[in-house]
Amino acid sequence: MPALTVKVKRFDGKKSWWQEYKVDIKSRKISVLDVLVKIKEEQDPTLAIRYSCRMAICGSCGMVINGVPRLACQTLLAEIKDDTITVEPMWNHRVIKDLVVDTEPNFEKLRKVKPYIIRDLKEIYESDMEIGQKPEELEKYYNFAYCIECGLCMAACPILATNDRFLGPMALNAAYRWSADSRDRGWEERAKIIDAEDGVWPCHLAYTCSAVCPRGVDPGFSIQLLKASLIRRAKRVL
Amino acid sequence: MKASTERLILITGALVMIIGMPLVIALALLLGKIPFEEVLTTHPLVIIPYAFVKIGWGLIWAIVAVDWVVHGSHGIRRVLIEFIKSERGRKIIDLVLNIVMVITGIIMFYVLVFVS
Amino acid sequence: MRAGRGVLEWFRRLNLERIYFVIHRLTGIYLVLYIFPRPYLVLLSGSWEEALRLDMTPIGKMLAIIFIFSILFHGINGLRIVLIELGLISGRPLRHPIKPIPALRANKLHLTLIVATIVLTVVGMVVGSYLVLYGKEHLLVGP
Repeated sequence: MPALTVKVKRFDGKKSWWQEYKVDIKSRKISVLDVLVKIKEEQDPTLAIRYSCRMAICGSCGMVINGVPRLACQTLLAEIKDDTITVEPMWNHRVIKDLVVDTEPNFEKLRKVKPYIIRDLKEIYESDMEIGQKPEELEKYYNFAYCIECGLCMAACPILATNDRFLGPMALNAAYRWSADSRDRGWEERAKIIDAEDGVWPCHLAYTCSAVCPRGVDPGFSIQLLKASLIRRAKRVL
Repeated sequence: MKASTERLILITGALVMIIGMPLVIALALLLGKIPFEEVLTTHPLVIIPYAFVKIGWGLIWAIVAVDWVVHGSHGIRRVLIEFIKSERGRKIIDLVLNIVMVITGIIMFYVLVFVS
Repeated sequence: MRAGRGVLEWFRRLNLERIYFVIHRLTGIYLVLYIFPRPYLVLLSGSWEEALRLDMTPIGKMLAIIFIFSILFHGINGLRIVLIELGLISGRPLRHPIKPIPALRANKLHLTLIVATIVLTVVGMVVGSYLVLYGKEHLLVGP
């Protein structure tokens, strides 16, 4: 197996530079995350990477690999035909160190759209009613509920590159997911939040968010459904 | 004005142009108001306004052109506010663009209807 | 340090819709810069002849060709965007553990519009460019 060349964009708080590592690998059936951990263990313990589950469920290891925002644990070397891998931190985020970025702004935007069931609590506590959901009602929002909040869509969005006040695909997808839930009654409240200059309207259909989503969530489409619901002044999301 | 209302204005303007312009030109051709050979052999910037004026629909052309100005101003506004994040800056952009839009719209209407 | 390239992010060629997005923006800006000065020029010169005279110069013809490309691409792509934003292109994403398909990529109308944008723009460009370069510069048709 030829040695792999891994170029990592480093940042130490003051300056940024590209550092190259040569890694001997025995198989291409390992992930980019495995290679980075190997580098950290054997060559450079100062390399900062964020990871957790190693199986594309936690969303921690988002980074830009060979020019595409991807999860490092999900990107196998077999998919990258090249013997040179370029790894850099997620775009549109403030870099803390090396490949670790500040994801707090993403979660602040997520909290703004009230990502929970909004319903009259009196109704729930004072009656014995069961709030059920039919399979077709679940189907309406189920795909959009797969979001693991990895932030790759936020990294891929060209609008966030110039306007960091834009809510972004992650938050807007959550706004759709919760508003489309048949148990929720909070569409009017969320509509006021997203029908704003920096709400849903800066989106201009670049659709890269859906192209890079590791879970197939399609946040781009949920944003268009929100826009259609707002323009049509719908009582419930489409 | 709600952001969705502003978007609706942009969309309505776009639809007026996308549907209105080709429709009027096609109608002008079908009604025989301008010879087909002329359309196929003349510079587009000469034939298109002529088509509108010839059939006496200069007023509609003027409305389409003013709609062009409104749509264009809103479009440019969308791009500019991505770079200006402060509220004050955005208000200034809004004011400047509204002034440019109104003045250009009035002048566009005037030159299309009253200037030969 | 903020990762990424700011406004140059618009120009990354990650997917087809992104390329359409950046061309839509650039053509929109070009159309505004091309059309907005015209009424002022006509008002200052007193007739449309001066604007048409400038259009017939070699630079004017090049700008007119770019104008034709811009108006075709921006218009047809704009129609696609309008249909999506009004919710007339419907559907849901196709869920699959390995190869999920986003809703717009699974919708036939959307795919037709994507193809139509490029086909009609190219055809219109070819015809329009020919007319700009070799078409009659004055109308011989009577009032």
